Amino acid sequence: MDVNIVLPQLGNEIEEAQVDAWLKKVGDWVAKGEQIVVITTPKVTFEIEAPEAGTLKSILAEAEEIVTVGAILGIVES
Amino acid sequence: MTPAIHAAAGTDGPAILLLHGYGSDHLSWLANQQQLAAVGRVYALDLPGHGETPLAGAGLLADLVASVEGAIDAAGIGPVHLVAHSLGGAVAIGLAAARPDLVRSLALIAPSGLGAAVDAAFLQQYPRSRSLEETDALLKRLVSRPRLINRLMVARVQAQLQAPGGREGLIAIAEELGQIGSVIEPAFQAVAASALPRLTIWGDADTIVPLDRERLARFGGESLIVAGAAHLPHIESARAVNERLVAWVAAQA
Repeated sequence: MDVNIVLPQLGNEIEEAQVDAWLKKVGDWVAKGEQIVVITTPKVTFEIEAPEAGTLKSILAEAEEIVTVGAILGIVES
Repeated sequence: MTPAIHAAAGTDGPAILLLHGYGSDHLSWLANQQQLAAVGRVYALDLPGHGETPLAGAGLLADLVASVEGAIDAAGIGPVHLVAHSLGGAVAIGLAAARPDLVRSLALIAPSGLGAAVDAAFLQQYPRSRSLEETDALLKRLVSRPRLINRLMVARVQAQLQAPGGREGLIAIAEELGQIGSVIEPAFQAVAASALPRLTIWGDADTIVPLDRERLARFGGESLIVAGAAHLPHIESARAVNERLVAWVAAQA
């Protein structure tokens, strides 16, 4: 089953952020809750965790890309 | 100038006010504020000398406490649950002592004045740093994983330092932070002797405001020590800290 990795809601004043780095490559196995992608803003840099265990099937937002809240960053095949 | 209160996230429940750390501002809670919105209306502000709020008075702790007190009164959101980091934690303790009617509970993250002395070299160098490289190296001392400091953040700090009054304000506050343990002592004792619900969260690898377990025990309340985290446990270990903060606020209802 495909599970989306999504840029979560960040609060009222922030609509977008930048993908800083992927910590896994397409094809890598990830555990549920494992940090998988680093997101940055001018104020905070934080990690997003894998929503499920599985294989990182695809990356839809590469490093340096600006993404909006709710955007699908990648897909884990669980 | 009274700091503006920003509605950060959430529309229902008790008011939760976020107080940021030294050199930061109200947008530093992106990894936490939406999660906290599950249990309250989340607000944030820029402390004096940070973000959009000019320095108040001489940048003493009392000046910062008075500013936050004024902001809560002006916005009419009190009493609030305070969630406060580092410098903001010292302000929170000061406010809880000065105006207990405004504070429902304290959740303090690596609060200045409650641990060992704040790293003196950091306080000396941070507000005086003039290059991106120097700022980058200083910021990386805050975290256990260097990837949590990005060049956008480094550039933002330099821009803040170079803005009119920015560097002078942070130097003034750093002077106060250098002696925060003694400055805060009366407020520390007042809160320690009170029934105010309080939770303290600390990274056991924090070298900026190192954990002092004996002093923390004297402060009382609940604590969460985050293994491996440095000075930003709410970002370094966001999930664990968010879960505890949400449970904490929910339990105060």
